[in-house]
Amino acid sequence: MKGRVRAGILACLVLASCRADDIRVDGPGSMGAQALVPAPSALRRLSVVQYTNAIHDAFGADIAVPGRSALEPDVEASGYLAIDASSVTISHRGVTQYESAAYNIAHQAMDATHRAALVTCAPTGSFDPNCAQIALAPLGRRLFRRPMDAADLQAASELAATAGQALGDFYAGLEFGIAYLLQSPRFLFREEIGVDDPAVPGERLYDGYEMAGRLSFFLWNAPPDAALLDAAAVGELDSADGVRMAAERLLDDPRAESGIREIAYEWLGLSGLDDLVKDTTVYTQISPEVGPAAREETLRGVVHAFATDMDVRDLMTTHDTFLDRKLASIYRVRAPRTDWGMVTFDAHSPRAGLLGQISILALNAHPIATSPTLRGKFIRERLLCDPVPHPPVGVNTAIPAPSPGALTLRSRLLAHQQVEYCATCHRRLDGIGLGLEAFDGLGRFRDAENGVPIDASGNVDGRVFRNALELGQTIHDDPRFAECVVRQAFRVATGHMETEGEAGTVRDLWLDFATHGYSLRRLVEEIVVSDAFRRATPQP
Amino acid sequence: MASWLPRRNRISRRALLRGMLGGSAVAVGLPALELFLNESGTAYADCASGMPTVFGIFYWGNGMIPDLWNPTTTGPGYDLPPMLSGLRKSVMGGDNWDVTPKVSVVSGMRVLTSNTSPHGSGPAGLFSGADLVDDTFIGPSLDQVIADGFAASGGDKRFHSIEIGVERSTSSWSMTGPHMVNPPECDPFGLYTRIFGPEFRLPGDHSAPPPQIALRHSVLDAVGAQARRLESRVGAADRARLEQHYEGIRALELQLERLAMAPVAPACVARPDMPAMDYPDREGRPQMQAIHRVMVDMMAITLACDQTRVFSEMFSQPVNNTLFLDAPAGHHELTHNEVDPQPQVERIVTFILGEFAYLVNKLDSVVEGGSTLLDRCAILGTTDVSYGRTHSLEDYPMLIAGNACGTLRSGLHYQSPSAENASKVPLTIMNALGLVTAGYGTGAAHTTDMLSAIQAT
Repeated sequence: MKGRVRAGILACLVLASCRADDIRVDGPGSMGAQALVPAPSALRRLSVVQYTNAIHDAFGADIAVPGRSALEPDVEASGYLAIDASSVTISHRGVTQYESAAYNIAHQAMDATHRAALVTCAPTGSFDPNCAQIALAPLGRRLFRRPMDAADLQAASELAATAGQALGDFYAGLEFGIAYLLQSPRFLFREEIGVDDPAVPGERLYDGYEMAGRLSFFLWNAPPDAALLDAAAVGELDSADGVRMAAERLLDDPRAESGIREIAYEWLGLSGLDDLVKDTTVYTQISPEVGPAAREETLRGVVHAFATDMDVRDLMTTHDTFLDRKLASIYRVRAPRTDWGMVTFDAHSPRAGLLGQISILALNAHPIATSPTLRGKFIRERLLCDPVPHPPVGVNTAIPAPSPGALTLRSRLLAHQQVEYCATCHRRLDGIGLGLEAFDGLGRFRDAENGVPIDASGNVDGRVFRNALELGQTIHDDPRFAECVVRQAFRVATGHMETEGEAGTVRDLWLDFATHGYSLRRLVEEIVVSDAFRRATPQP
Repeated sequence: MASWLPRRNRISRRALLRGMLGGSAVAVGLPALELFLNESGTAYADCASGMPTVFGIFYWGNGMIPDLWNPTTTGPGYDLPPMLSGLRKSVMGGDNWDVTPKVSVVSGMRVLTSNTSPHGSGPAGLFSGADLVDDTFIGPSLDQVIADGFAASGGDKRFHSIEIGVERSTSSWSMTGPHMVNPPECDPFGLYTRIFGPEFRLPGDHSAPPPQIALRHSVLDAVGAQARRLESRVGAADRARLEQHYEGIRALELQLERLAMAPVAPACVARPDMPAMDYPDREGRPQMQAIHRVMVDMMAITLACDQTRVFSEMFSQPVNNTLFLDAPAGHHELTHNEVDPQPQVERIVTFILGEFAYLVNKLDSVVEGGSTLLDRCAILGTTDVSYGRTHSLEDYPMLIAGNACGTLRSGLHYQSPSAENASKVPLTIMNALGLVTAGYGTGAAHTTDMLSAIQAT
């Protein structure tokens, strides 16, 4: 529900926090001396993607996992799915959905093609608890991300054997044992609680299996593989050095792309692209594929930055991007030879970097018009980590209709800003967002609105720009942007908004980031070896 | 198999733990809502027809325009301003109804929260009795409190509650507790499968259930036991989350038990028609009417077949920018930007209220003996703000359809002369449904007073 409350039109804002006088524009400065106070642990519920990855890992990549609408949905809190996962539970409907999915998956796993790989013993009859246990123990270890305890193993194998007897078929019975594993809170929630650290009373360390899950869900968006669980078993993940070694292996693996995509998806708030609402008569090129394709473009760009160890700030200014034919036609550039090939906008293109992409431009706009307010809010909150307060209530938010004296949205918004009460905040949002007015509500370039040439000038807290390219460069150069990338990755990694007690860690990570070429790979590696990622305080 | 026996009168632990309303951000361990049966014990038992009372919510996003909404006359036979005109329709070969005798309009009341969150504070105040705290409700929402009340008195059904939506979304105001959203079912086929799948039994079906049902029950028992073992290792917040998972598992067990007992319901005669697998957008516009109507038709049979006593429909979401009808912009954008008198906003809200009337008329067309399905319902129709343009909470729009077995007065317009506390309305509805509570809401929103104007005498 938070996403809904958060997403306002912000037509009129005024609050004390809108003053621009406390903005730091210096760099990270020296190492933080502030001691870490680890955040409390919290169980995180698997996202739909993580659930799907877990099923494919445990039972085979060709198992059909019920679709998005047939599983408990991910919900955003504070704008992040990862943070909501730390506070949500499982609804009654979700329990029913997970149950149906469990039997559906178990039935596929026990079909003639899959069972051989999963059941290594030969059942002596329809009732064989011993063979059931031999089959279920390794599955349980994969699904629970730790060895099954005696009570769980006994419950699972008894259920399977009893069902086998009742149905007269060992494998049909085993489906009930598997369904038990798949409905278990130990599978559906990430059991990260920590163990008391004798060296620091009141603090906990995540144990090896918990660290294995934290690493793989962050770096792969998937559960640990067998090698990572083995590393946990022999204590290799109990030290920062061991964690670094494991992280390097995970980051070298092609699956790291999934982890990076998830960071970008959360950072830029791209979930809304599944249900992009645009008027088809105004945006004749819009179709249901455009939103997901635009997201794919953006994610590929971030993955490319990771894979080539680019300076992440260059995501704001790069002329390279990755397109399919549909997007190329909207951008009016030559399509790549194959879909998702790299395209380089020419030197005179008005478009560069993230702020030139359809994903950002269309998502932060209305169904029929642009919205400098929403676009300004995106840049403040997602790129500069500068939260924007809710608009106040009880004010008339109407924007004047186009008139001979005010044909462009810019001039209409200026009239709107005559009220000082509204202007205080709107200048801080619209003054940035108007820099993207040369892109319409879908992201197509235009040089005029109602026959009046577009003026895309503005300023970011005093730093002046003349157009979208210069706006991108301004964000690139703003130290808050790099710091914000650190914060965003940290939030996805830990599943919570950074706390006061973690301020020193964030500052250290920022400094390290700045002194290592703003490398995304370096950043995520430093996050996972940090004490903030490895330590916890008990939940009250 | 002992666990297979129905556990009527089992009072859910959660219902006791969080059976409170408007208490605090922590749902456990605080003074419980004094939720009792009324003196005659009618919370579980029933109307003259022998069928139980039902509570429903119909909800849309982005408010209304007071001048185009509030009737100018009060009492019975109120006039219909433009936005309410859909309550009476006479379209040649199409919609034909007059549901005004069965719908009461309440105006002039005020949701008394501090209104910190546009589009959030209104429903939070009305449905949880307090403003949002930490961006979420402080406790369970009205529909869940009522469902828990029915359950505590042994009167809940196969489904504790059912949440549906028309606009595709995972959000709902139906909350089991802080951060515990009950996501709406927005897919007609998904709703059909969940309620009327192969397991569903029509009255008179006494065939033996397949053995898989008992085996699934055993699996759920074991999962529940495991959730309990895990609970002992975690802190309070995680414990509450696992407890909710546990309650969901128990609810599914109860569903399986109740499936074995075919319903006894006079108007339950056949499954609904199977809906289409997909309702794709047309030119970027969702098929709001088609989806709503097929969902409502299924809900009517769900209620007629006594499968649940509590439902909520999120017709559209707060802040939604849905392209309705042939409107030239999204709904939310229009509420703020369209120039007065906002003709497009007027058309959209009028359309939505026509769909509310479709729901009311549909339930009223299900005859159960001498009365109708609607007559045993109390359905609250409301939205997230009053005047969409300003996010105001004064003059809050509330419609009440049905008379909850003769305990509410239908067909009148009550206009508050003194901007009364809107909490009186949920309190009055709970009372009409046989759930007696000491009061509703906290802080400024707290009340112990009923709205006598809508109570039957």
